Amino acid sequence: MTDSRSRIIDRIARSTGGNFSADSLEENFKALTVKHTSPPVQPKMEMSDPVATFISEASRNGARVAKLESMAQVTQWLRENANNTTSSARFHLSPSILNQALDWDGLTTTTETPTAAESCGVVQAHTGIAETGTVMSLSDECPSGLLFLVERLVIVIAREDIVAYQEDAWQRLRARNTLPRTVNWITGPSRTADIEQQIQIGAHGPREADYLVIEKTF
Amino acid sequence: MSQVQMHEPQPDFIIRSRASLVDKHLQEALEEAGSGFVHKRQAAIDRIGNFEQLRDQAQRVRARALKNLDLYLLHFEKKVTEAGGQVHWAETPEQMRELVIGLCQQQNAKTATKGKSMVGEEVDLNEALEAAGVEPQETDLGEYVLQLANERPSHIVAPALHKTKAQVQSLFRENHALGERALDEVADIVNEARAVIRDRFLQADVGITGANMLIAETGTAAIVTNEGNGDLTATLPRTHIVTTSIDKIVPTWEDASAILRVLGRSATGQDITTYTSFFTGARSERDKDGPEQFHIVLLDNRRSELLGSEYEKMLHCIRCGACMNHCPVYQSVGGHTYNSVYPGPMGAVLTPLLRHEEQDNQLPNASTFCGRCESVCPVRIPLPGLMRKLRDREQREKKHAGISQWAVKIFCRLSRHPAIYRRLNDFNLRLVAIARGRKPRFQSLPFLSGWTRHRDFPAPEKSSFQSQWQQRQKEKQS
Repeated sequence: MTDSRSRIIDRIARSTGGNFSADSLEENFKALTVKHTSPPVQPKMEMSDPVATFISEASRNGARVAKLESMAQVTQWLRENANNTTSSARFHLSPSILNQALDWDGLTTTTETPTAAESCGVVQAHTGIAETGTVMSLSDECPSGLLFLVERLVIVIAREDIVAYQEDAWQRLRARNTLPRTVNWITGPSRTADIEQQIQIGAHGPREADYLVIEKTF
Repeated sequence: MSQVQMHEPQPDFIIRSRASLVDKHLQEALEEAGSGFVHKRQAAIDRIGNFEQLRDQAQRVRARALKNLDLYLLHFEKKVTEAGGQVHWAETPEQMRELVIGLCQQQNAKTATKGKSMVGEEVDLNEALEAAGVEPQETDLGEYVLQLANERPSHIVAPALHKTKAQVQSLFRENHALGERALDEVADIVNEARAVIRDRFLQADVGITGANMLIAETGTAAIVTNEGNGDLTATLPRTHIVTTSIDKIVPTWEDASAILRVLGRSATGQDITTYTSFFTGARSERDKDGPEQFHIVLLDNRRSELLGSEYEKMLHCIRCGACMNHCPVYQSVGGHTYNSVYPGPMGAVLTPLLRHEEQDNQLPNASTFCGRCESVCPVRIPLPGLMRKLRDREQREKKHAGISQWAVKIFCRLSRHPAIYRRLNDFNLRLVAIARGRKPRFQSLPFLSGWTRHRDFPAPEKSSFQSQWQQRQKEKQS
């Protein structure tokens, strides 16, 4: 299909002028984007305390938010809040949570792909975005499938990882120097409005989303 | 799974409209959806103070992307390749079908889960997959319902908008072995679909999704969803194929943000959808999961011809559906009446430009020119203006002059000769005055039964404004 490619590009070039060399794509791209970068236009909202905005926006979008003093309290919170519906609940841990050396005593944990009905995912977000109460997860830190296959998703987010706007999240992403295959943004539980426009929480992804905001992570 | 229905409806928009207006289920469904989208959008806009500036920014991003589209597309391709993926180019729907089927066959795929893709609909991908022995499995709830019903989407965001809950219930009863399971509530229906589709995600050989945006900077496809089906489709199978079009490019991640900030608010009144996902290439050794193969199939289908033309602004469209949610015509006749995957005002412009079928020329006429579509478009596409251009083009290109065209020609001639026009008008009004007698309204009129069947036609004054004016001036002087 090389011919299709060149014919499409040629037709586009008739309108754009095609004033660049295919050998120096990156230089041309950089020159263009630097030249045209205008300051972002962000939604006007209360942002004096991004963490407070993050919590209020996440709550408005259907996530349950709890504040914990430290990472060590996560398992206790799970015992009290996520283990009471059934004794067979299995906690699917992301690698970053597994590495925290938490006290899992009395909780059934696994790193397998979730298939059972009573599955609860416990993952740590890379970044929280206050603008919309969104958490960002990266597929080189946490398997993307885990975020969608569990019935309930508990996302741990450190206070210092919460930023105000989307652009701040992109800056953090660029600072890593490697882009994972998948960047997931999650804002509340999965939902659908495909039947008569009635919003129904719990479509293909988790039916419940909990955000645990950790005050001190050290 | 049975064959997806081929559309062979009446080639006439007006005839289809008549049927839609008396379709009880459709009217019920349209009523149910009604103003929901409109109110939710307004509430989302009211929550922030500067939506107009966000629209301006989104419009600038779209214009900038198209201004150097060739460079951005090639940069995008380079980055996809560097990330272990592959970009394929399709000039026509047929080429896109061949490319996707070829990729499925390379994988010996028997099943393909599908996320929602309007470009996939544009090229009739499902039928082609079935014919090639690959079972397409729709996973978006609305698309799944339509696959059971052998129907096409009637809305670009809410594909099954035309279906009532009762219709969905009976479809599920016919197609699912329900046993004791209930279907009374919307929650029951959603749970039923979730259970049936879950296994398919885990077993599919290939996952096919669309893309809302392509980010040139890193070769990334961005997808926004609420259900989570798009992500399961993109993540679990060995191969992820993205079917999308060349106009979806934005230069940078910051530019993607500018679009995201108006997309959800305009579409469903959400500040952001539940899931926004960014896919770059195939799984690397650092990634915990993801497909081993990543393919982007880019469709042109005459879009490149629109660049630099008077219709270029149509390529700014970000497929939010706000124009159809606010269109009095769409809201009365529903999406299927347009007989195109792109209905409503955006479809009335895009369909004749992409498809070039004779019947498509009617679509730009399916508008009252009330202007609501343009006033809500997040990237300010002048939809009524573009429809007017298309109407004009149709008139100029029409080879066979019908009665309406003769009427317009005669009117044009007359309007350029005011003296004759005035005399003729006075004569007409005198005729009308005789016909009218003392009645203030007409209950029937020749050639105007379309109006008088539903309401009376107000009778005009007995003489024209100009005659009355002259009469008065004369009386004053005397």
